[in-house]
Amino acid sequence: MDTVRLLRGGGFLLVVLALWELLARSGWVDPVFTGSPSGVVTALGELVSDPEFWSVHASATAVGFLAGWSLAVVVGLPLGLFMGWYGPVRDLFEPLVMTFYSTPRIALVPLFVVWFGFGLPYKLVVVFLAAIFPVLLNMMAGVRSADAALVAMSRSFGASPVTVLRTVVLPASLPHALTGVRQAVAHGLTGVVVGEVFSAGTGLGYELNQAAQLFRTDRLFAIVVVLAVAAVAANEGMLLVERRLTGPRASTASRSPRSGSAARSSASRSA
Amino acid sequence: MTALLEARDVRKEYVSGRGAVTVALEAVTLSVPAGEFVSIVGPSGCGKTTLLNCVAGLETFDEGSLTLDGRPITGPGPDRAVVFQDASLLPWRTAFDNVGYGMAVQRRVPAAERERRTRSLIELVGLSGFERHYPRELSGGMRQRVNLARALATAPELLLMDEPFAALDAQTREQLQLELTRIWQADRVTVLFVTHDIEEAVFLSDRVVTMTGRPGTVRSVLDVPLPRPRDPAVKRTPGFAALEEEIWHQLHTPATVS
Amino acid sequence: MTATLTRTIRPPATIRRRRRFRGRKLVLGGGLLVLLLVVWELAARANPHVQLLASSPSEVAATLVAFSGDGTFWSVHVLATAEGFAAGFVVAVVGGLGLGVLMGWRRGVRETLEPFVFVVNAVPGIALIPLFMVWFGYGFTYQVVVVASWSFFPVLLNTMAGVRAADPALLRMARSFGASTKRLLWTVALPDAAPLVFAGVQQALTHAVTGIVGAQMWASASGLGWVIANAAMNIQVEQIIAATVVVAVSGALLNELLGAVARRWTR
Repeated sequence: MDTVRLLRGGGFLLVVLALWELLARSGWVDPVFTGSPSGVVTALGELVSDPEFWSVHASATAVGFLAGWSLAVVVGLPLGLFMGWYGPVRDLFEPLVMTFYSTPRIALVPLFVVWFGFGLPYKLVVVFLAAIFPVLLNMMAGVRSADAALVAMSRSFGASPVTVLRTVVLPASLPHALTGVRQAVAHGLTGVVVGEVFSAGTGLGYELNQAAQLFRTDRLFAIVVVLAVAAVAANEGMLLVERRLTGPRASTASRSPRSGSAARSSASRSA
Repeated sequence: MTALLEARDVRKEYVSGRGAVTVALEAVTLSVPAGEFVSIVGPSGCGKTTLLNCVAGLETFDEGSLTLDGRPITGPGPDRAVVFQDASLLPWRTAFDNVGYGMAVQRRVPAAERERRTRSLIELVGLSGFERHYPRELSGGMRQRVNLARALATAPELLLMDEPFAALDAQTREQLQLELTRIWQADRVTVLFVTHDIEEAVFLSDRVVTMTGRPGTVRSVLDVPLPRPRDPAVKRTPGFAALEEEIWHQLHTPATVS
Repeated sequence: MTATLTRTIRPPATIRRRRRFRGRKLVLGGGLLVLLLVVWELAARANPHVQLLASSPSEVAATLVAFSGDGTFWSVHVLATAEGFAAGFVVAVVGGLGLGVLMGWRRGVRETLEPFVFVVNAVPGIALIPLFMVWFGYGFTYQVVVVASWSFFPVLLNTMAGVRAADPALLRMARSFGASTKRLLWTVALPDAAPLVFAGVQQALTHAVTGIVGAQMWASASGLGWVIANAAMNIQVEQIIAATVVVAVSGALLNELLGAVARRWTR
């Protein structure tokens, strides 16, 4: 990271923040609407020091996210494996998967509220449906990407299908699987917030909703900051794990938590 | 014969991020007479490609002078055209459109004339029937022919060629050398040809410049008095071998301090 | 002397050349979908609770028919959704392309803006909905801003990556003919980046569809999102599902269209 780059990027950020602060103080617009960096910092301080924020809302979001995400991983990886490996299984499930993938799941959120209420089961379902697709699609792509030459080599030694899977296919699909699990974190976090925003109860999304209703823009931004930091930290953390586990091999998709290269390439025909 | 290209004491250095200075070209002096085919031979890293890039106007140099027909070279221009080792054909255009690309960029030739030149050059380089093909449908040798046609289409005063056949297999290379000398014979455009292949240089050229590297400098200039037009049989004559040996000698013995 | 070393090795199931008949996906996958629909319909008929909470394929179908005959549905709701979607999507694509080219081409611009882009991109999109409602109110502007903000980044990031990765050999070739920056961008960099750019636009499309529905569900007086939110309040599950189907099918069609355009324009 050389100095020029740091100065340019950091400088621009600072300029934006400074202009924002000036705008809030100028009196041309109501600072309640725009929020301000200083206001956000203050609100952030209040949030962080508020025990209820952590014990009630943050934990509700965290629990909801973890439940849904882990279920997505536990279901998605094996399902992705089978769908990637066995043509008939893929042909059986793919239309169903793609149908769900192409429906905007946000539209189903009110339906889930009707069915599950506002509690943990509801959040679990919402997060699961958000997080399953990156896991499933990336794993499927990973399995299918296993070098056919290596598979043939393995079989030429008389390896059973299980052995081939274990020694060739799974190691080959590891980078994809990790990428999928990592992308599922971003999707899952978005999912849990979406779920909470559209419901009553607890959680960061709900707090976001409340802050908006009460026009407390600084508090709204502060919650956004908490969410963004959590998302970035989770993504970077998973990247570290990914790199550790895949060694010198480059990770297969971009670092961005939201872009799903494998997901897109195999789902190119549906929205 | 008047010199078309004049290089005098050209010096170029690279400064790395940490301040280390590498001298790529040092006191390079040579002249290319109009209408001649001149090759530069040297080992990898001797600066011959750097020199070519400077003549093409794609790189700047630090000291000395480079002039074309008396005009200083300051950047790329319609008076020169480059045939790179990489055919660099636009993959989304047909061979026909690729040949016309250089002219289209320079915008000095009206459409009707562009079409005429493209057709005649495609025939000249032996690609009739392949106009509608895309680069991925053409072999390496065919792509280089398109590359050559594109450069010739702009009717440059000086044609620069940077190891154009190095990436091709031996047979295609020989074939294209023959084609090139045949095409040149008809056109007599001034050519500056860079290669590491001594046989190729002697076969194609009127004059061979040897360069040694680190820093890149001109070692010697040899005339190639072999009769034209050149025939592949000439490669097996004693005169040819003697020239090759002399060039090899120049490249592998240090210059005596003058 | 030659002991029989060979025993018949039965190839594992996966390499047995079972003839894969071309309609297999249709039969298996389509069959599964049909089966699920049938189960759903039967469950709804057997149990009135299911009918109430989950509707049934026949009820959803009837609702869809009612929708298609209902003038207001088209002239008010579908139109509102289409307008918000189109406006936001176009803004995002044009803006994302322009800025993406700029940032991909000039290192200075990229280094200056990149951290800022990273920060804004890190914000989960859903958080922008309440924020923009505070800033822009309930109307058309708010919807356009939500859609644009959700679909802007895939276009920007992919375009930037594509332009950055433009084949240096091709660029050098064009420069050697004296091509201006405009020519370099237009005839080399952008065509070379086209596959990535289209991938970005396709991602943006998906985000835009979700965005318009989300924005209208949150705060609007019309549109398919409003239909869904309104139906939810009245527990008219068949309407929720029917409206979702309309959105999903339109989205899928647009995506197919975009895919066809992309295939035509990229080699």
